[in-house]
This record gives sequence, structure tokens and C-alpha cells, in this order.
Amino acid sequence: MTTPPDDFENDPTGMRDLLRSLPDPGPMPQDVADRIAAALAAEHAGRAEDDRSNVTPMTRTGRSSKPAGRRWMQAVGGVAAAAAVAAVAVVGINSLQQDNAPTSAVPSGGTHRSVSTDELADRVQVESTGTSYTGASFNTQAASMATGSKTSRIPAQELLTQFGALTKPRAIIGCVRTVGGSLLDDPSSIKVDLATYDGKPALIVVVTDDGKRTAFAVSSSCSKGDKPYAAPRSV
Amino acid sequence: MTDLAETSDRELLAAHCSGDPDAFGELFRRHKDRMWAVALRTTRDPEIAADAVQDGFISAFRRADSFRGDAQVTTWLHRIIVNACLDRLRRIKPTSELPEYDLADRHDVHGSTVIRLDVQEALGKIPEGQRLALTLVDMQGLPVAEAAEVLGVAEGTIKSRCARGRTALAELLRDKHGDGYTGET
Repeated sequence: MTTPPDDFENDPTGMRDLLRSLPDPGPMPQDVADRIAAALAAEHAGRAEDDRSNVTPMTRTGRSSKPAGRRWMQAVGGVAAAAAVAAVAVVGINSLQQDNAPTSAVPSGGTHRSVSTDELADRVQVESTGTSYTGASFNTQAASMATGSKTSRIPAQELLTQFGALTKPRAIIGCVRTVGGSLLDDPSSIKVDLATYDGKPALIVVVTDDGKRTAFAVSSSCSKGDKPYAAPRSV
Repeated sequence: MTDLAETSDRELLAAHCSGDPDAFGELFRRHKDRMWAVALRTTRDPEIAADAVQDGFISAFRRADSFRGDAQVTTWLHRIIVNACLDRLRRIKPTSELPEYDLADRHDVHGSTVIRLDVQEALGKIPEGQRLALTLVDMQGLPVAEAAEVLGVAEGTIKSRCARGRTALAELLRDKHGDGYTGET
């Protein structure tokens, strides 16, 4: 059944004008925009990793499915993960939110990659100890994390919400690469604590190479443009 | 850096498909508010809308190479977002009823505001197809042809659904407010 065009155009009910007069919902709330931007950045990260290694795509967060294969820039421009909590300042997701100049705390050391991403991913250990890292105690806490072994205390779903793809070894490798490619030359282990740093969700990373431990802390989005919360240092 | 702000939607999508890491971010920035509005108007629930918009943009990100180029990118995005909204709504309730979500407290508000709230409520009571057509055409201001493309139906169907939806809305509001339902202030 169809309605005569006149009814559509003239609208004898007055409802068209009433509906048009309803207030606009307004702009997308910033926390929602941040969350989606972070999720999209995590997609970038995952695809960059997929492309780099040319292997089976990594598993992503809850709403994800398998990505289509596609060429991406070699650099992980905007490695990030879903940081869904409104209080979390998801700052500067480089490719999505603003144009921050990339800051790398450690020189990348060129494109030297003596170890494959798969091999590196096998060396990643992820935990969530519930530790509240602070700037003042970071070295001690990071060293303790590197040598200790705690059971994860945060529910997996909560971690996925806060850290998205960065709960996965391959995305973590991408994150470490944005901080300093030379850290991935041939580390023996990459230990990660999904925790907080000065109250903000953060990845605490300790890379051990030939007995030497380098620790740093980055935001839960681990964006290329973000300055690490704690720059790489020996612990 | 390429001035993304001056790049067309179509070019941005093509750049995204070619591996430009910033192109989709610009598309998101450009259209997020409009997609938020359509999602909120479709679901009437901010949480569901937020999830749906996220689902939709992620889907668009992944399926960008399925964009055929014979429509506007915004039409394509609308379609993806509306479908994501419907998916979300059906997950919580497999009918066309919308979640009960009060946009504002009915106490101490002007009569016109009450009518607006009642319009929202009435929209939740009409068939989904009519509601979607009214949301896109009368509330979002999409041309009939574009709304038809978003919903995958003929233009005549959109017109018909709009007309019937308006009539249904008017009846629902008349039941509540008599003939003073038009909300004019």
C-alpha cells in the first residue's frame, strides 16, 4: 500500500514540523568519542601487526571479528586500545584525535628486526597485578613486577574494556615498538602489567635483554604521539 | 601532512583503503556528531547509542573496501550505523519496542517539553519501519532518496512510512493532549 505523495509533502497532521522542532541531541559526548577513537586506533594497531607479520589475525576485543587483510603503513601510527572509562584521559590518539608530533623515548634504531613478531609475542607475559604504580616508586615497583609472579586480580572483561587489544601480546609488541624499536632487538622477555600509573590506567612494561631490564609506563592507549608516563629506564 | 580537512569523504575512504592511517580518523571526526544523533534518535538510549555507533564505525573501518562509490559516504555510514542500532536493539529486545528511557523528568517542565517527551514515547510505539523513516527524514533531515538508500527500500515506501508514521504519532498524541499536541509555543 502506498500513500499519495500529497500526504507526504503536505503533512496534514503537523507531525513533520513537530519532529523537526525537536531539539538536536547535540554533539557526541567526549567520553564516547574518546572510546570509539581508541577502539579505532586499536583496529589500526591490530592491522598493522597483521600486516607486518602476515599471519593469522590476532583476537580482538569483544565486539570484533576478523579483519580483512590490507596494507597499512609500516609504522604503527596510533597504536591504541579501547580506554572506555570516561575518567580516563585518552589523550592524543595520534591518528584519530589530534596531530601530536611523535615522541619516542628511545631511538628506534632503524628498522632492524632480528626477531619476528611471532617470536616476540611468545616472549610477552601479560598480567594485571592491581599494583598502583607511582612516579616516585616506579623503578622499585617495576623491578618487583619483573621478578615477581602474581595472579591477575582484575576481571578479564574489565581489562578488555580498559585496554582493548593491548591485552594481547602482538598488540603489546606494537606498543613497545612505538616507544623504542631497539627494545625489541632480541629481548628475552617482555613483561607487562595492566595497571595504573599515578592513578591512570597504564601499561607497565619491563623488557629484559641479556639480563638488563628496561622499564617504562605508557597510557592505556599507547598512542605513538603520547609521551610515556614513565620514560624507559634501567631497573 | 596532507590537509585532511579539505579532502572529500570519498577520497578519505579511498585513502583509508590504501593504508592511510589518518584518513578514517578524519571521517570519524567529521561525522561522529551526526551519527551520534541518528543513533540516539534511533535507540533513544545513550548507552545503546554509544555501543551502536562504536559497532558501526568499527564495521565501517573494516568494510571500507565494500563501499561501492555509487552513494555518498554519509549515506553508507548512516546505513551502517542504523543497522548497528537495530542489531543492538534486537539483542536487548527482539521486538520493535524501544527501551524505556526518559529524556528528562516530566515534573516541572513546560507543556511543550512534555509534548516533546510524549513524542519520544509515541515514537517508541509505532512500527519500526515508520519510526526509522521519520527519524531519518523528519528528524535527521535526510532527503527521501537518501533515506530510502539507507534503509534499503523504495522512495515510495519511505514516503508511505513517513505519512503513516505521522498519522500514528498524531493519533497517539491526540489521545494524550487533545488537539493541542503540536507543541507550538
